[in-house]
Amino acid sequence: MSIRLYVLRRLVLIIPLLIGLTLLTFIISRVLPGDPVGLAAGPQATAEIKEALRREFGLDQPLPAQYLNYLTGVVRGDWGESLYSRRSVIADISTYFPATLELTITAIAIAAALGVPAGVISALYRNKLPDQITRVLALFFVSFPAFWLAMIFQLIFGLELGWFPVGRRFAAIETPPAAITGMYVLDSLLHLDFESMRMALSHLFVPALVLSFGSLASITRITRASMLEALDKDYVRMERAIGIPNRVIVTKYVLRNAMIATITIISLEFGWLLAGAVLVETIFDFPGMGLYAVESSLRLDFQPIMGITLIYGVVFSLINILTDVVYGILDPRIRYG
Amino acid sequence: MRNRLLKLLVVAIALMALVVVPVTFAQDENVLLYGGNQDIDNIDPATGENYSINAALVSLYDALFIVRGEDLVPNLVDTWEVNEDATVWTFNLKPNAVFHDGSPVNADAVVYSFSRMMTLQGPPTYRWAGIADANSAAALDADTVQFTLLQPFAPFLGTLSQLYIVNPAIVEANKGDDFGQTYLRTNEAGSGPFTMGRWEIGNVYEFVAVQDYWGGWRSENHPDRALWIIRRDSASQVNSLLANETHIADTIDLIDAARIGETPGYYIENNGGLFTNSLKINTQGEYTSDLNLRLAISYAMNYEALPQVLDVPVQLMPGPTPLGFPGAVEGLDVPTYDLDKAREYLAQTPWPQGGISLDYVYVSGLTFEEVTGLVLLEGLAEIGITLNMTPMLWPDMVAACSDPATGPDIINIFTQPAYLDMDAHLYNQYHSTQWGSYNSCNFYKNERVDELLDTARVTGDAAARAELYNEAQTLIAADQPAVWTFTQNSVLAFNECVQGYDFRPLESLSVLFQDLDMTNCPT
Repeated sequence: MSIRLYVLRRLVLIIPLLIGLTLLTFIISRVLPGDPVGLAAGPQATAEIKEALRREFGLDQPLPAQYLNYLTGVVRGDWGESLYSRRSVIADISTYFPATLELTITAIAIAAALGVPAGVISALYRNKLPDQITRVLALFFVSFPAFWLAMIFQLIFGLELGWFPVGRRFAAIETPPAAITGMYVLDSLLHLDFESMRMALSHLFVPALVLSFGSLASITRITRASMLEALDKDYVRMERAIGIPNRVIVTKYVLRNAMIATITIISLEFGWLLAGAVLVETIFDFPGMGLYAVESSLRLDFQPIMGITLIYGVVFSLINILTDVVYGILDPRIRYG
Repeated sequence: MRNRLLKLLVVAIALMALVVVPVTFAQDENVLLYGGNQDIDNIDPATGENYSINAALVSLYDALFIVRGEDLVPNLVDTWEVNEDATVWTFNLKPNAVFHDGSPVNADAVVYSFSRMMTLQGPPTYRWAGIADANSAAALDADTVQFTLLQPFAPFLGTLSQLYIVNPAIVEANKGDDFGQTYLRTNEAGSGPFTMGRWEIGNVYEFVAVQDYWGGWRSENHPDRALWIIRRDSASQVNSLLANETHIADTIDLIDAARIGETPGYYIENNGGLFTNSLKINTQGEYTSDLNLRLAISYAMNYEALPQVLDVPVQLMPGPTPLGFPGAVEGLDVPTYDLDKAREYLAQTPWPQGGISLDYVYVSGLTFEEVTGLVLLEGLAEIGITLNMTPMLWPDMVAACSDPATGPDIINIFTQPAYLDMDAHLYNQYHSTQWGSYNSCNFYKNERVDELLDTARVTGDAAARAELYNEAQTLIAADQPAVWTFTQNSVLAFNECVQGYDFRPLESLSVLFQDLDMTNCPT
């Protein structure tokens, strides 16, 4: 099967997956105890006010009808409104998602840029000082909770040294670049506005660095392990025997083979970071999906919860497809079927 | 390979240096940076209401009255009169008030705004439920508006600080099929001291001063722009204030307040408000319907320990009504921490030795609610009662309070009156028609109290009303439907460059941007 056909088939298969996901989320959100309408209407709301709100949001209808309405709305591009803020969910997601995406892409880029070389060095100097240092650092990064590091980094780099802003995506007093993608760094680059790009980067760097630490440790450890396994293969011994320089063996042959496992962990980590950026987003007041998800969950705000689940479902599926495609590029022996 | 690594390192450091230096911009205007704990979800005056929304509404719109300090001050209103039974209220409007588009704020606009509000039946309209409807307001002439209420309602004046007047022309032009709700959620149609600037949802909201505001400015150095910057995390609230990324930080705890107070260039405003905490006891519960048990519980609470163990500044409650609330009865005979008395009352219950177990419900993750419960747990353990600490999500607590059968034995609830009148404080908590709301999660029913609260609502004479409320408070205190614990102080931290803050007990966290005075604030 050609790669194009394979990708198409996988894309089609996302549809039943998403229907299942929405159904599951819908059922869970409806069977949970709690009275989101009472909460949204306020403490002194009369029964009439609550009933009006229930009617307005279609919550007075039978559950199957509510679900069908939701699904047809999703197809039409109407993902409903927040019961609490009454804002459109799709508009909220289009505001918050690019922020989290930008943060996550930067974090995973930092993790990969530092983690892969660290893993390679660690493997090449197995059980020697560089390996020991790398392993200790990896253990350190994976052990410290992100929220603690976030607070410490905020204090040191934001408050004490004043090198970076304490938080947020952009200086509040300044207008961010006009949205093209919603990712400030990319947008300012597209507008060729380098002052804004510098400001966006200065706000992005510390949160992304903190967010990257956990993944950095995982990527380092997996790269090291894969490299060690690859270095032990017969073809490496043969390449060394015929006099191919070590640098070429490592970069051209060993690393390429070791990268399959690394790519897997990077794609998995990307998904986890995307969904797990909430603590870092909270501490740095980075207005992204994590904060939106937590606030919506605490209020049992049904429509945003459904929308967030849906968008994460789509992103995870796309990451998986992309990972499979990259496998094929790295190892031509892999066949799609 | 080593050379390559070195090159990479140099490039990385060069990039870092580019990013590291913070960008600063010189400002020739007063820009107020406010670190707010909460988002501004919705600025439609007919459907939005909470402390952050109110801060926005009072900046963008004018209401008939405004709360300044402890006083209700006429705003759009010039003079007013009321008939004897408090059913007909007539207001003369100030003739110079104008909307941001220059059109006059007249009686028609007031009628339109009130009618829209009552038609939409959004959360703010509970104030007028059963009191008025969409047809209650009428314009007598361009500057005179009259409200004819469905029944007498003496505290009506106090409710009018939430009646923000919208520009009918703008709403009609953007009416859609939802009476302009979609438009007004993120757009303004007001006459207030500020208009909207940047409105970045979930992030930052900008208010731009109307320099020739019809109501005038208190200070020449008023904010030209005010930015509400969302700072959800308390540590980042403090850090951003000290890093001069904000000038005001709200929701500060005691430790942070002490740290800021000791830092030169900053000061703390710590004021006792009306944000009232009580442990509501389900008066219809299996055990807690017994008055003697409720008294035993109340005597087992170590009230004096609370200010010492809580990380928020508090003032102890002297009974059902916070100290300083107009009309609060002083010297009520309410329980203090006295384990002997607790045992005495327990002895008069069907469980004289205790041996029962009660649920204490509080918001999951809220330390000060948990700690308050632990103080009670310790006292109750002394008299043989087990307290089950039961953390819950807030929506679940709201749902539990909808019915006496599901209402917890004891639940930690904060209340805040919506207007400065005893009606706003007592009616929603202790009138039996209010069962089902979390404010009345004690499911209290005393026919005499109901009668007193109903009568006070329709009594115009202030002295007569005060007497009715005195009796109601005394009866409520005797029935002990709650353990009245404390009012939580409002703590705001300021950069010294911002002055002019006037604490408003009723809106304890909402700062009036328009009244502030700024000098050389860093940006």
